[in-house]
Amino acid sequence: MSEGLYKNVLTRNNLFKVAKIIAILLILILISQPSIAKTVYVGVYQNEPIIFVDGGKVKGFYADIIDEIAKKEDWEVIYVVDTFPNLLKKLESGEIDVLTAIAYTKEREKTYDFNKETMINNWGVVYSKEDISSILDLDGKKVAVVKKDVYYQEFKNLARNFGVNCEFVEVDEYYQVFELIDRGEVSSGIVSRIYGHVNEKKYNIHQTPIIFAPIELRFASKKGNTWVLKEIDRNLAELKSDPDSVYYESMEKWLGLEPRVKHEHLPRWVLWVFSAIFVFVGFIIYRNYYLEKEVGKRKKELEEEYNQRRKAEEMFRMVVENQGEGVAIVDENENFVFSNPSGNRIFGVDNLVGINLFEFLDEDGRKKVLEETQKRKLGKSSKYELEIIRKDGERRTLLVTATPYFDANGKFLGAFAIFTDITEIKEIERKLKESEENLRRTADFLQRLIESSPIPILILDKEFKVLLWNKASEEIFGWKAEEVVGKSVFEFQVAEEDREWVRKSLEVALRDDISVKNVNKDYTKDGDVRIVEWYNFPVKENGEIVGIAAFGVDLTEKEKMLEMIKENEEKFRSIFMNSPNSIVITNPEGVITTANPQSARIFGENPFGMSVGEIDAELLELVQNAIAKKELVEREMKIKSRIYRTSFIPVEFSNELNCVILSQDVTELTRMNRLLRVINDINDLIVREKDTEELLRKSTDKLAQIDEYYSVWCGWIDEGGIKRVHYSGKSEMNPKVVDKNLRCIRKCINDKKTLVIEAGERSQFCPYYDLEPSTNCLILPIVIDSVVKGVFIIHIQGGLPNNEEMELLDTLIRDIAFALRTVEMEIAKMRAINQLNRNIEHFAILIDGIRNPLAILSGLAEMKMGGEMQKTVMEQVLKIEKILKRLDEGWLESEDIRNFLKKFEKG
Amino acid sequence: MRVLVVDDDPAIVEILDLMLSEYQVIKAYSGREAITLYKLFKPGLVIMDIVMPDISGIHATKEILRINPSAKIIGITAFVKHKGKEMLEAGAVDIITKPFKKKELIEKIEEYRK
Repeated sequence: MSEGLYKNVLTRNNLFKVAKIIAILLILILISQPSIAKTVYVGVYQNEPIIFVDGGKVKGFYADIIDEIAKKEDWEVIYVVDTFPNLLKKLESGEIDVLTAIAYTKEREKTYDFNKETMINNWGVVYSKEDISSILDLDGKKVAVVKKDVYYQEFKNLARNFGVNCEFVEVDEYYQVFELIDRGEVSSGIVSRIYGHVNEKKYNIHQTPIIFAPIELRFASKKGNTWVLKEIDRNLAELKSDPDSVYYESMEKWLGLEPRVKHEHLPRWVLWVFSAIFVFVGFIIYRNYYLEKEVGKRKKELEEEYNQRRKAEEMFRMVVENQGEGVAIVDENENFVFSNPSGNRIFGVDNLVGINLFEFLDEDGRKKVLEETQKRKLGKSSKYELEIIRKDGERRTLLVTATPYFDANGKFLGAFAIFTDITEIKEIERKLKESEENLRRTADFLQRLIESSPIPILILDKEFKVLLWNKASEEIFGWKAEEVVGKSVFEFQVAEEDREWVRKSLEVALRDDISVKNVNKDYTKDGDVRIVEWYNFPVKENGEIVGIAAFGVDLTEKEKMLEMIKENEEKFRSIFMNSPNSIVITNPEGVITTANPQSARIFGENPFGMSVGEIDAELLELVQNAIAKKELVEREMKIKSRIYRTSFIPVEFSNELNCVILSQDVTELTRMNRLLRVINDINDLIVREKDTEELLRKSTDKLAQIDEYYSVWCGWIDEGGIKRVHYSGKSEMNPKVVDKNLRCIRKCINDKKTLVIEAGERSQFCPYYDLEPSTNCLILPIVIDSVVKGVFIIHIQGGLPNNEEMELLDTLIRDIAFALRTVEMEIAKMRAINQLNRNIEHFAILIDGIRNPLAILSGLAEMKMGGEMQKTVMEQVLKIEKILKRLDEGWLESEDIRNFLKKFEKG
Repeated sequence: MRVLVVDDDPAIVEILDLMLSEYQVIKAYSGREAITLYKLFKPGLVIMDIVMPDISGIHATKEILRINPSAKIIGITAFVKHKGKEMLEAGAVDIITKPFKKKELIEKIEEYRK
């Protein structure tokens, strides 16, 4: 604070003493009014020490003043004690005439009348048990307040302006505010500074730097009910004008605030002015009663001016001293000449005065201050940040607003500075920035994550309209984000049959704040349907649910795969059960654990639990071999008179190697293969062999090479029966002739078809009657030009041939028959050609034999004869010659035929 | 000019001798005899029967041509289609069919004599 300011205060105090003398004189000349006792209902609430009830008595600063005024104005005072909010109601209803200790505001003046004289200045203070240094610290905290309290209203506005969101706990009295803080039920509480000043020691709480809303405490009455207020004003002005009055005594007594006006002195010029006024007023009293009124008026004006200035000074001091911000003055050498308590606290010292600012600065800080001081010297104000180092080494950042001050001659005296410790704010800013950066990075990361996610992610609002539609959603469902944003998923995406229950499910998620999982069908843009498992989570903003985040897993392919697996399983089961092959599975010891119906042919009807070694020791050996080597083993095995191509496949089930034995009955196939090989050999014979008997002999031998063909007999039919051409086989039965009248033979010859005689059907007349009873008999006719020329009789063991084998045998015999016929034809042809050759040669010799004598005759006639005789002979020679020429032509035709046959034979 | 006539039938040889009276006729009655006489007399022309026992006219022609590649041999046959082609292939310059006339015979000889 400047030196000039103190000077002004002193001047005002002296003025006050003079005014006091004038007031006494005025009172002396005033005519006393007759008094009538009036009943005044005065509203009182607990606001110690301003007004309160203690031991059934109303006490406090206001009580003393009321009592004093009542005494003077002859009031009968009835105190009505209640809570402050209730008293406001009672004031409005007229139940009380006047309410004490009410803060004056323009807002309240619309409802109540206020007296003009201020009882005392007051302001709001925040108390707490916690370390609260700024209003920002109260964000989100519980703050106790008195209902309808002016500080409550003001603080609420202040908090709103700072963007601070507090939870207010309303009570009726200030003491309840302190109790709530003390019990820790609230973080902080708001009371008047006077209440706090007097009562804070009773509780384990402390005053925070947060002060606000300076106000004036006055009296209030119901609108229009102003007489009480006028009397109060009149008396109050009087009391306030007297430094020794009850007003100041009571103030000191209750509030502990010593009035500054009491012991201060006015400047000399004011004394002169007021002395002159004194003389002037005495003159007026003496001369003119009316002038007294003018003096009184003037006096009142002066008093009001004084009061205003005093109040301003008081306010200024109060503001400066209770300022949360530091206020300090430094001289031109940076020495502190003044600092308010906040300034001291910020610098961490009891009193800054006398300390040089540079003691708190490092090199950079000093440089900064020197630069700033240069600006001050040029008369410039500025705002800048400065880092100080407290004595304990703690660094604090201050926001300094500095203004230069000069003396009357313009000499630079120093700077006036207001500074705020913004260390926490800077830290908060830093953290906020860091947090924002983190938040931004997180948001970026989330954005990238969502966009690059392989799964569809949607964000829907509360009406299920699309807010976000990521790339995976575009790829899976076909719609671009711009096509679907703003549309409800139930309009286009969720399949119609699933819409109702999916909507209900999402509504539950929104209502109960829970996540839900759906598996539903969704449409794609192409009209396909996909099965998607959705995980839906409520999305919150400032604690309020604003929509749904949905994460999808496309199960379409998985479902298809499961369906396929199921189908395959059924297929494999069907294949297993209906396989024509025997399939059994054994454990490593060769014990059958699984078997299909076909396995009964090898292993019996109930093979479970049986060892394969019981059927064939080699089977068990091969199972163990396959498992040991972990390799497929294949064998062709004869089991129970059948041939099986058997595979031993090691397969791992239930963490142990098992063996699948797959057996294919290849008995017929094997026989067929052998037969085919034989047929191939016989076909070679057919091509090469030109001797029919040799062809039949060799064909018989080849057929007998087939293991199951026990005996093969071939015979040629003539009048005496069927005569053996050849026999080959294991049987000793080898008849030279077979009776062609045997029933079976006759049937075969008549039908010209193969006859099958099964074992057991053999006739007693059969030459093979004594043959092995299990053999079956086939009689195959050799048919040439629709006539049966011979037969093959084949006896077979190991079952009858199947249809394919029978067809092959029939074809083979037909081929042999054809070959036989072809050979016979060839022989006949060769004979014909040879005869033709002989005939042609003979014919030529004959012609030659005729022409020779003809040539002799012709020559003799020409050489030895003449006349008619020669002529006659030559005519006859000519006739013979003509006949011979015709014979020549016939010979030529025969020669052409022979040449053709020669070519055909070559071809 | 000496003309060697060859035929297994003596009557044909005699008729040929009559018809070729203006030439010096050397007579042969087999293929083998024809080859021998050809070596002895070196005739200017040979009239050779094709169908003969022992050595055929075809064989004898080939042999004479082996002795004298420029020898001129005319074949005679009762049936030109029978062996005629073979005779020409063997090297004969022409074929005359039986029965033949003197004029025809002389014309052929004169034709090949040039």
